[in-house]
Amino acid sequence: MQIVVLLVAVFAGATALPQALAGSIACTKMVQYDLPTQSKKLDFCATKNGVLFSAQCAKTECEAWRKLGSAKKQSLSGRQLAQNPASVRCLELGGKVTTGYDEAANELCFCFFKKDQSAISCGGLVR
Amino acid sequence: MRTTPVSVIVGSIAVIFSTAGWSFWESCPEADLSADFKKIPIRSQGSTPTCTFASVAAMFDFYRLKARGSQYPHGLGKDATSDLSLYVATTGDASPLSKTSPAAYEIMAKVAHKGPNELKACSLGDFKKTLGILAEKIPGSSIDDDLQLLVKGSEQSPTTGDLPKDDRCSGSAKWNRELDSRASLLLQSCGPGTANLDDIKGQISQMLNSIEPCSSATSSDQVVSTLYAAFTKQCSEPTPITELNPGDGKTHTPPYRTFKLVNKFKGDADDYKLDSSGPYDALGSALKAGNPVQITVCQKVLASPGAPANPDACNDAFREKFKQVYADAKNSGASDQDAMSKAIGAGQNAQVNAGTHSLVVIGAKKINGVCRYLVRNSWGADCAGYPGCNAGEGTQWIDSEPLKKALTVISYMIPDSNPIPDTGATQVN
Repeated sequence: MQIVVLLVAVFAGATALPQALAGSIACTKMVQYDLPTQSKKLDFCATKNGVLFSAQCAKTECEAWRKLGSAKKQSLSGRQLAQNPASVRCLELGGKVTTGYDEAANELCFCFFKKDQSAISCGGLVR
Repeated sequence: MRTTPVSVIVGSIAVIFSTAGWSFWESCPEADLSADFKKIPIRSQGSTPTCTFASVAAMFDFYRLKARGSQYPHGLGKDATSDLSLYVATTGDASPLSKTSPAAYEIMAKVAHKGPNELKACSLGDFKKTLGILAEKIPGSSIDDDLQLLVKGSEQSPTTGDLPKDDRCSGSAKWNRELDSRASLLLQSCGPGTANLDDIKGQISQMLNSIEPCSSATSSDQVVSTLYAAFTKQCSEPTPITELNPGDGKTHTPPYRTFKLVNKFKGDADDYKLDSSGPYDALGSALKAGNPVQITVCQKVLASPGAPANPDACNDAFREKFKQVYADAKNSGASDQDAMSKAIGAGQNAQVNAGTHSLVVIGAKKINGVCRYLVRNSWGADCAGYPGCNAGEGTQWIDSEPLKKALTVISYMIPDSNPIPDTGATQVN
């Protein structure tokens, strides 16, 4: 029984690992957000768990993808508690917080990284 | 025929109580306003402490939809009330350098006083775009949130002592303390290790100079006022009414009255605590009557990723601070009344510092025997990645028991044409 579990775990790891190593992201669909502060619309890749990455992250390893690995348990205090906690995490990771708008004008927090201008939906940084 | 002993019946009831608890009999204000709220854009307050404005904006939009639903068959979209415009219409009006956010009911009452047309005009202002354009004047920055923090920083201003004479053009040492405070906020927003306070001050100086050159010898306060004027311009130049009101003569937002109920202090110096039963009951009554309700709660009522909810966090902070300040005051010879007054004030500050948050309750129902409340957050469509999010809707469920513990204030608005539910809440306007 233990061997079966081990084999399943190894198989699961083997299938997930190459994707992680390559830094590529499996997109379930592409969505577009309007970013007024950048005066343009940008395409984002939506993953199956709902996290959005800038389209470039679907092609090559990007800073937004790398930052996921540095996520840690968040401890908020004082003024930080009055903000979107995911935006606080973005700032902690050295990103810039920007608001994006979908077609229905719903807002979503995006975290942009200066290094390669890649972005992730802020909520993805605290899951 | 055998009879069932009384002890068995009593025992059975005890078992039911111990497993299901009182929640089995708990009443629940069954309500569902989520269909209308799906037509109102979801907010993301980002790194600004603007949850109250986002909550109030959503409530205005709910009644706008109700009053003029046929005009918005697919939702309000970009016509939604801007939370930032509400900020300017309330806080910004009083003082360009206003530091503290008003309570939700104060915002509602003030906008009601100003009249629906002014709200309409403000609601159309795309303040975020304006801020974005202005933000470009800060070298190296392309986002609006830094500038929002500059202007909207919620830090308390010094209430005592003279402010240093401001002169941004003759060196940072004489900076106005208000701008110092905002520069510190900007520093926080830049993240650790990416900037220092002097750099930030330099950037702000450059931005202010580009708007108001030093040669004009205006103070920083005046320059910030200029910024506010730019933000409020859209409010003073109403958008043509035909854009939203095609000649039917109806107002944009129906006239309404605002109500509030705040929790009470109960107990004595040894065990002083906050009693939220009043606001909690009023929340149920208002909701059942079909009204969304703004609530101010301890933020930790929401479980965060990897950490369980802690709805007692704010009350615990209150009690701890209260006890400490009360004891200190008594030791220094203060009267009971004075000690109590000081302790309550300090306790309330501790409560707020432990983290309060504003949400809108848009529904309630029993799920598995437990009364649960559906709240609409302002952390974006993904609820900032917090567990239990109805993804794409920006809503979460909170159980009644933790909600009761975490609740501080409720407020709601009732259009004049609607019946006023009997909730025990106080009318504000």
